[in-house]
Amino acid sequence: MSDGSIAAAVSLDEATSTGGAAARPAQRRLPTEEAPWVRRLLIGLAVGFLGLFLLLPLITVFMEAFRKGGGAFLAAFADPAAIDAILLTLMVAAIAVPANLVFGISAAWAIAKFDFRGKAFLVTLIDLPFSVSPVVAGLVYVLLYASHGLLGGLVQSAGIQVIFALPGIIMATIFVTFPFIARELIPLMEELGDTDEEAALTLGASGWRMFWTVTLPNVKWALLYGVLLCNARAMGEFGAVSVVSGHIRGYTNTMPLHIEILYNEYQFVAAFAVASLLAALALVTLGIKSWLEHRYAGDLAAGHRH
Amino acid sequence: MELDIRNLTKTFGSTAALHGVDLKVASGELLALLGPSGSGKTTLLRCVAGLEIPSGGQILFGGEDASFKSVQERQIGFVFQHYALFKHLTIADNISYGLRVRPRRTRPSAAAISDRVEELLALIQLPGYGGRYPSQLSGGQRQRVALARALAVEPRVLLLDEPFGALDAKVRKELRLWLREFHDRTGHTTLFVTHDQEEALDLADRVVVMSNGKIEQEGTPEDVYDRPATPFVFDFIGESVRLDIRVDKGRPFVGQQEVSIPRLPPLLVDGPAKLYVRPEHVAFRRDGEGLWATVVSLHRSGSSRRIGFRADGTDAVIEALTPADREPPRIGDRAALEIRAAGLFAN
Repeated sequence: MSDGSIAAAVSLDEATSTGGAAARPAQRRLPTEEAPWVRRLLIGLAVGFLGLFLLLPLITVFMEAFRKGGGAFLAAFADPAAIDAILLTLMVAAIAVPANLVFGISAAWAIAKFDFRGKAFLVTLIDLPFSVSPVVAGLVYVLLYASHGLLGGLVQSAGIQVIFALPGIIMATIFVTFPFIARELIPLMEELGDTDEEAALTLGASGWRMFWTVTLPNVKWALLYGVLLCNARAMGEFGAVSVVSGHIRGYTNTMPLHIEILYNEYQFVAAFAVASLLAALALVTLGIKSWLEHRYAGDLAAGHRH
Repeated sequence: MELDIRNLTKTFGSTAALHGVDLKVASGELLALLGPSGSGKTTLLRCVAGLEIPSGGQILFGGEDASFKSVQERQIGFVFQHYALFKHLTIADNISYGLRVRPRRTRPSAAAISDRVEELLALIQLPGYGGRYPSQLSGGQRQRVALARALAVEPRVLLLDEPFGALDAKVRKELRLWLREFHDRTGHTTLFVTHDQEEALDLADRVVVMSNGKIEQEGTPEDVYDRPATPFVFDFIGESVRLDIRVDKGRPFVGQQEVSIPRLPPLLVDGPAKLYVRPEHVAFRRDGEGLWATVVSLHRSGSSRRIGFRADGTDAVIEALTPADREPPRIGDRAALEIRAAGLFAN
């Protein structure tokens, strides 16, 4: 380093230091490293923002839930409507997640292993639920399956009630959650290629056997990760489900819808009690997800993390 | 098991990867498919394995047409460049995979499978490694495990796709010698693909040189090195310089000087031609008979020195190889070159 540049570095350091004490030897910094005050500012901004917009509301949920003590908190779950909402939510998740599991694996397989016309379009289509407002998705289902809708007559003549009933809720949930698993698997499967599968075939394994013993174990952690995310969203979905469910208490009310009704009826403690359960479920999911990321970082899709 | 490949073609979309390849592989032979990338060697290997479907032609395994058989039915052993070991399975489970996926009727008993695994681990000199995982092994060890896994199912033909391609130079050489010795002991009919000529010449009983989806030459390592049949083979295998020369009444001329080369196949057509000369076939003297030239470059590489000569009255540079400890000439020195062997091809 030439003398001139040392002098420049010292003067810069002086200008930024708050004390303005006697000239210290210049701190050598990597060219990609920011000045300490920039670093502190950015970290402060991020933490402050997260605290204000994410952490504080989350804490408030639990505080409100316990405002009138544990008895009032538990009373919210004694309400049969609450029990029904919880059961319905679990049932919807139990159907939507496996459906998306099958769909996600087949879509990822098709995209990663084959070349076909319209592949790019299919990838875009998988992302559609991320960009379309869930309310719009719900409305589309109503338009299609309500009694005057395009397919409404068809399903009604088959004796199936879709809108304002369980099938509609499940379909809306599947719509909003279907990218989660597929998106998790596609980059990983593309990266893995198919030599492992070819090796299994040359060793005499059938296609089915190869899938269970080679393909699935190779992607199991990414798959579990996708399932967790999908499940969290399936249980928490509000917009699309709200449009198709009709809010029939004890029948088509999921947990998020039940919370909204309680809140609108000024039953704040009950509303926040159920909300805290939903938030707790989300936190557990987050915990497992972080643990998976930590534990199996290498096995998860390298393309979009780290 | 002998292999007979007849007029095999393969096209990917509109590009042809194989143009009517004919090849016979004798039982127990160790045969190298050698060529640059894009020459079709891997496609040929994958067609034999059943991992690619040929566009035309036939593949016979021991006289029986296997063209329409599935990968599983062909009973081949395939070793991949990047090992393709199942990383969630132990070494023992990897090796026994092919036995364990068999239908119950033909599946050996658990005891027989574990005996077979032990036997194979001993064969690849990794006894006691059965409980480890692939990630705990070095590249060379993984490739030996991949070989054991392929052999566990007693394949009729062993196919190796750039088996040493992912290993570093030293391990490559060791494993190459090991494979040769292993083959001599086990005697499987083996086809292996490589772009490394040294590997092919060192290891194989017979070398098949491929380029642009066609076989350029097949023969023993001596045949392809000492008697390259085409300009491509001359260029691709070993080192050589190409000289643009003229043939007049059957005699080759470099510039105005006639060169005499022993055992040069006669070229019947007069006119411009290409002469391929290997540096080790060029000797030089300070006086006497020969092709007169001037030293234009000196280059030391390892144990030898490469000397470039420009033939008088031409731009053609001919290279000669001498031991590094011999006193080299200086740039600008004159010398008479003697070319002991060369390839002559019409333009």
